[in-house]
Amino acid sequence: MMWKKRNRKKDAISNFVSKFTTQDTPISTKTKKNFEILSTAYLANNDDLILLSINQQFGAAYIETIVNDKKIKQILDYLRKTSSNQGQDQLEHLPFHHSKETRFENIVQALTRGSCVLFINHQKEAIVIDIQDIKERALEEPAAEATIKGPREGFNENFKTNISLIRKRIFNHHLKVEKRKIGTVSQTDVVMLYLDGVASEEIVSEVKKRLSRIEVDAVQSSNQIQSFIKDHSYAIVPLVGSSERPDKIAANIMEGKIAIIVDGTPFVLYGPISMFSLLQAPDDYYDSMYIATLLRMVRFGALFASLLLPSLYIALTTFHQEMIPTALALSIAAGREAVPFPALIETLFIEIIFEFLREAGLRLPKAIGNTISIVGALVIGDAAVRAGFVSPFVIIIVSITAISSFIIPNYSLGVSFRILRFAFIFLAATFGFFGMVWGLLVLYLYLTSLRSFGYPYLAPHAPLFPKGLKDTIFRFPLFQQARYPKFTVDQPSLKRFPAKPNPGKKNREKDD
Amino acid sequence: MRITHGQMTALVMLVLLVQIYAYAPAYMAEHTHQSLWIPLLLSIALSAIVGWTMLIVSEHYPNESFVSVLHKVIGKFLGNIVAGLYFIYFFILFIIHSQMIVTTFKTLFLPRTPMSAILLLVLILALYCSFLGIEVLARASNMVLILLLATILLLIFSVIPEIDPSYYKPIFPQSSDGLLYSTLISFSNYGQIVLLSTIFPFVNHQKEKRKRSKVFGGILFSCFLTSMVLVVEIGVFSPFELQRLQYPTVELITLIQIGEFMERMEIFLVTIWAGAMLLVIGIFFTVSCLTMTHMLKKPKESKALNILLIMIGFASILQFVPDTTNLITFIYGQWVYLSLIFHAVLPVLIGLFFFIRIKVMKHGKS
Repeated sequence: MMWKKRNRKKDAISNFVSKFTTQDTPISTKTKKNFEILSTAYLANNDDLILLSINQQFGAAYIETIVNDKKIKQILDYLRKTSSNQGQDQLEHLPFHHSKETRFENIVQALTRGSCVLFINHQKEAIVIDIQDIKERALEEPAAEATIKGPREGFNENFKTNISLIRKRIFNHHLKVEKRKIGTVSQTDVVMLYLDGVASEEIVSEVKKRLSRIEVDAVQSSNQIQSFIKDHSYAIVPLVGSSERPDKIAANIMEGKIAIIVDGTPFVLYGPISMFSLLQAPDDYYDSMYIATLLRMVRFGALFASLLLPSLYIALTTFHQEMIPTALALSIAAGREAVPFPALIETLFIEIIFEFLREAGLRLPKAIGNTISIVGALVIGDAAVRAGFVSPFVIIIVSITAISSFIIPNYSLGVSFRILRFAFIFLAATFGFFGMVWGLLVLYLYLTSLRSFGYPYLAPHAPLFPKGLKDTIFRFPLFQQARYPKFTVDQPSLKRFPAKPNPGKKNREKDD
Repeated sequence: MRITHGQMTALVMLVLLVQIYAYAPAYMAEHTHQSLWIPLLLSIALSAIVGWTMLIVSEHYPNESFVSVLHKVIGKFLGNIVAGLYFIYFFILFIIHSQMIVTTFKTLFLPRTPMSAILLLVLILALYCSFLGIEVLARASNMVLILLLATILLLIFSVIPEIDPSYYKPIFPQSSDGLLYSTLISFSNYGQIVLLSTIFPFVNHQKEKRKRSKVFGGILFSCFLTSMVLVVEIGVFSPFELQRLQYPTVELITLIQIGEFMERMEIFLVTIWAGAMLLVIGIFFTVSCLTMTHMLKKPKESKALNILLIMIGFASILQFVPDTTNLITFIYGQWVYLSLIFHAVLPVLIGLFFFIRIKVMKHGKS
């Protein structure tokens, strides 16, 4: 019985694709035999695999769809000259960056990553030259994080390009770039960037540990990595930040945070984060503190509106009518006179219709998407009110809620609050304001209990650090933000710069 | 995970800020009329002495749970009995607060909603708080405290123009009748300062210096602020009218009017109070569970135990204090006297044992 159980366990483990391994054998001294092994055992049924024999002396293997044509031509020309004139010793001085491999496991991996492998007759080593050439998208302005005064470039899908975009903003040897491969089948490059001496060593080693524990067959997006490394697996809100903007990621690295670039995705992860950092937009730092503070307050208000506005309407009209100012109560009552449904049903109806429209708008081509929005918002809304299906007030409420949800700068946070909104609608419909305050307290306690790489999610508000409040809802002048955020750096006394306010004072004195 | 002195202070302040102005003003006005300020001051002074004693005892044994402090001060046998009594005390406070918020909302805003449904919601939240632990509650307490303080201050400052100074006359009472009972009422609220002893072991003593004066400053501020609400109520309603109001503070809120548009504000301000009250219920239940866990010498909190306690709580509320009348009868008929055991008798006993033990130890050393 025990034996059977153990066997079943073994079977279960070997069933994972991530457990597939390449058979590791040493290469042959004969080029032909190596070609035969490659084309039959490892890369069978791969029509883009090219195997070329040059003057019976060398054998070149590469996958033509992922290599640079010009470089291949150069290598082949060089080999032809070498074989006919100087002999194989000349290969030791190959004018290409290369490495040597003796085993098929490494050679096959190199071939699938866009390298050219050169086999030499009577040699136990093969030469591997990296000539990968994968087509990449040009740098464009991030669509989801547009800015008015900030830089226009955004990340693309190539991790090397993305690293260079960050490096060009931090020309310093303290910027550390640590690369690793994740995904036993996909072998995706994942790069961790941080500012040595500033980023907390504890957090850096914790992130490294979490990354090394990931065991998946393939990594398609940074979101997959995020779900493996975040502190609370079932958290409804984003616990790891993600951005398409190099300036934002560089600024976060400068604050002692850690960035994670995943090859094949333009969204770079960063952390630790707090919920308040997700309500900040790049323009907050490209404009005056007054407008930044005002906009942050607007966003904060929008966050609450997107969460609570429909439930507030339901609670007031269902349970606490006496609290509505008389003039407004009369106007709402007049609007609802012909509506046969309770406030819950009409709000849910319009909310669901709006979710339909939002999804339809995303999937359809831009031109038709606009038409759908107009048809949905104007025609259906107007018709629903005229038919006495819903009251005009609900249309206003749901519209303001929808606009508010678009104000939240972080898409994932907006989506989380969209889901939570439905819970609040039901709480308000069942218990009125009591249900709402109950829900708010549960949500507040839940958010307080969350951590992002050990950093409290609602910091600096819960727990309260008055010194950290200079860059949350209010944006204080930059000279007052010399200190690093608490917890993200090892040395609490460390400052970013000597804080010197009022640099223009001297000049004024000269004028006097 | 540990909490700071500030968070501990916030937790105790919250506990002291939510209850006294709910039902007490009517009963205190009935017994002391306009001289309500005297029992308030007396009870604050008594609470400060009790709190100070408990804080000194706790500070002597940092990082030790309340139960093990009791073991060290009064011995294992007596310590277990006192710990058991304090568990019952915290559990009763949890029941009182739970039913207080349920009956308030049921009476004022949700007359058609079944009481058991509202109660269930409250108890679910208390259970969730106990699962999260005291550290999370402490982290959350600061912002809730700020919000509640702002609300109470807004209330006080908004109704000051409505005060009629003649209601306070004569300032000193002509007889001491009812003074003792009124003092007991307010002491049954402010005496909850003993909660300090159970939260103190969670403070991070390695990272933080002792902040005794700041802790006490905060706590006394909350006592005086809530006393102010009661004093203002006398000035606004008169002692005679105040005796007849079941929810005088809610009546006080109805006097606030923002322009001509916002005519009634009570639901908004009561909702903020409800948020703080729900957190306090969570604190009391979590502390009850912690005390029980420490008494049973379990290394970790058991979720099954917490669920069992919440079920006992649900049954107890439905059985013993099913409505407002029963709750008020229990608080002002029995609890006012019973709470003396936990707010005065036991702290005095613990304090005496502690000082004797310290003296003996010092004598032994010399």
